[in-house]
Amino acid sequence: MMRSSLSSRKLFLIATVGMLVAALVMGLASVPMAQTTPQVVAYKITGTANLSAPGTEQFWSNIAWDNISLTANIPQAPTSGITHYVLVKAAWNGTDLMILMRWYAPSPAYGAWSAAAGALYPPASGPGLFRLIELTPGTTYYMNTSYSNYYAVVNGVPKSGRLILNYSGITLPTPNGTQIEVLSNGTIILYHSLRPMEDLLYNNGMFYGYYTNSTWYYPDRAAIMWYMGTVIPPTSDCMNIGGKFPGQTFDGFTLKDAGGSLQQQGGAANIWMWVSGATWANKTYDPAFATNLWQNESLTGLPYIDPGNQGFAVPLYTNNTDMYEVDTAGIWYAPVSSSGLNGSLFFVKTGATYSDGYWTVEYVRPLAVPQAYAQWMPNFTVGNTYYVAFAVWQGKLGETLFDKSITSGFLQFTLSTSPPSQTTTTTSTSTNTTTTTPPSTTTSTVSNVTLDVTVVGAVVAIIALVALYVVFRR
Amino acid sequence: MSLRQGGLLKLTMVFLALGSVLQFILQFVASVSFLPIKIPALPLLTRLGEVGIYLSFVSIVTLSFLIWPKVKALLPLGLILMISPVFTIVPDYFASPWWIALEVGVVVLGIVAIVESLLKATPLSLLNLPTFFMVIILMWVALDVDVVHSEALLNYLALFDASVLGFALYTLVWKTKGLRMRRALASYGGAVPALFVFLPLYFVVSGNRFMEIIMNMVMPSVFGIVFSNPYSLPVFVLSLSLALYFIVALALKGNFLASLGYFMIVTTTFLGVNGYHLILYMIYPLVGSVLLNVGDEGASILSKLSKSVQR
Repeated sequence: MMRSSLSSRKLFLIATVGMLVAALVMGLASVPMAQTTPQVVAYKITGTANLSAPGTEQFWSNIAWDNISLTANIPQAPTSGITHYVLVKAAWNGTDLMILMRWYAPSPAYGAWSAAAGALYPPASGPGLFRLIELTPGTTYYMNTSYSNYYAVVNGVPKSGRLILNYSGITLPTPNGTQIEVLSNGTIILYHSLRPMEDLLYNNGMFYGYYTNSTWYYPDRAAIMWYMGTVIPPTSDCMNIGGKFPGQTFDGFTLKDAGGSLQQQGGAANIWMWVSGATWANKTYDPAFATNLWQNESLTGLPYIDPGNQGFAVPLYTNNTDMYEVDTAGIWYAPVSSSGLNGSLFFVKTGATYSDGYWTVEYVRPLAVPQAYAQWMPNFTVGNTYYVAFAVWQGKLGETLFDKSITSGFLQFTLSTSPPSQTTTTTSTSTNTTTTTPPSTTTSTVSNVTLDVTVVGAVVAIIALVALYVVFRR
Repeated sequence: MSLRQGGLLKLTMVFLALGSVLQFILQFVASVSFLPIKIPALPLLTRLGEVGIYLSFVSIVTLSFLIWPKVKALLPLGLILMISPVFTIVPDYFASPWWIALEVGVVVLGIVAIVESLLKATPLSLLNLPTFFMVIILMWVALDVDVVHSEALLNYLALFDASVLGFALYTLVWKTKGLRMRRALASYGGAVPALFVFLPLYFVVSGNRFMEIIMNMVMPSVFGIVFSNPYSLPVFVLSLSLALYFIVALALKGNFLASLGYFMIVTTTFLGVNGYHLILYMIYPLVGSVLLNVGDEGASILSKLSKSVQR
């Protein structure tokens, strides 16, 4: 009896120590835990991209769409989260990585300037050149005339004093020269919004969204974010709202973060940003290409010439400090370097079309990046897991800058050495181009192999269970 | 051996509880670390959280071997989890179609384990049907993301609220006769501090628009839940507070297994929205559901069913 008690006590001790040691050893050795299947896979294909007709290449027809849900970046803003999902395919051919994005957009933002590109071109005119912000319903204003050196413009009429915004008792003094328009229903529209101002409005609950009407709107955009940070796995793909640079002092306020800097601690990311009003390569609807902006070195400050009239995606780099442009010009954001990046602006090539109510944008980039870019852009190699996030903006419906539709977190991405298998169902779409018709519907496709292994997994599990129950039925 | 007995089982449960709490701390700390607030002992908490993940891993494997005679489907599930780190030495293992088969197998085994444990549980466990429904739905959502690469957009908060309601009723009804009034009252009273882990957040987000905006990003990042209505955050925080309160109350009442099981479910099940990312996280809510069922003693649903058939 005593011996039995002793041995069970020994067993207990061994189990205790064993479990603790196993956990500690695994922790100290950082034993990798098995992950689930990556959500986005690039398949090995034969062929090359045709950016003049994105998505029509033969190899894409063998790859199923990934249907990726998007959520509002600013949950409270009705203009945020307009695109509910984006369809994605990925492929690689040994030298290039190709990503195809497709999303429903009932009202394409033709002819709207990307504000940063428009700022380079003095005769630029038309929508998108500056931003109009709709303030939260219930926001009021008054003039504080004790600021004798200040003035504001209200409904086109200059008024002396400092314009103070008031929402639920929270007051926000505005900079000198602030211009607002008060609509007949009391809604306040703020003109010529600066990035720090957006941060202040947002943090005081007054940012309701970007205002648009039939003649004033913003370009459509699509972006792919590649995580490059050291903290794995990343938990957030959100960016900070803030000033032009960290610690910027604006009208008496100090803004801690730079707008666009990555929230994920220890995180960094490369972003490929396609903009319909700057990088689309459409001479009719893209004002930057219509005016041959990118060929004009004196305006862009870039020492290269015509990139072959191909579209491109602006390469950006974000970390906990700031958002940068992987370029020496710094057209959209601060340049990441002052030299040594020739050609980087056009390194990620794109082709885009709008038809049947959908935007289709194809991104192509060499798998390997030149040494000079490697600090800010990932190299893609087989066998590694990457983390990717997607974002879409519908400018005509009020989405621009930080007001957008994004994936709720990073998705796992990998290059597969396998070719895509044949799909069993095909994408079905209706063909409508007007905004009054119902939206097109798209179904995701399932490959034969996927279907097979799903069935195999279920069958094997059931067989194992049946065997277990039969053998150990008592 | 009764499930409530056995020193090894108790030890495993203690380690699993410790591991679950530590790994949840890691989930939380990683998500709020970007906020402009100072988290005391951040590196230590991160390291402890990492240890918690491995402690959970070891505990779940051990637990599955200990209670498989009662829930047989747990044995293959534990075996899969145990050998899963070995697969990581195979290059590109996660891109193989066979990995999909493994994930599907895990889900099938998990669902069978839930059904098996439910049938062998007392009828009281039927109150947790909304929870099992939620766990299985999230498994489907995860497979949808991982296999078909399509994300489902559901009203996850409604699933969660139904689950909390069921668990609250389970807690209130459990041992209403067998437990002394003083013990029961002490349990509900002693659990009050747990209510205040998340409840202050409710008042913060209800009255502070800025914090509501921030927490609208933080909470989905911690729990994986996606709100179909962005104004749902206060309701979620309230539900979370109640869930934690009833978890602690049930543990104090004496049903430690079920309370731990529900904690495991609450902290990991919504990670399925993004495909769980780790096989461990996929198995977590499945094992939690089984624990929810094995925490009570008495005539099982199965025996009652067979008796009624015999009549």
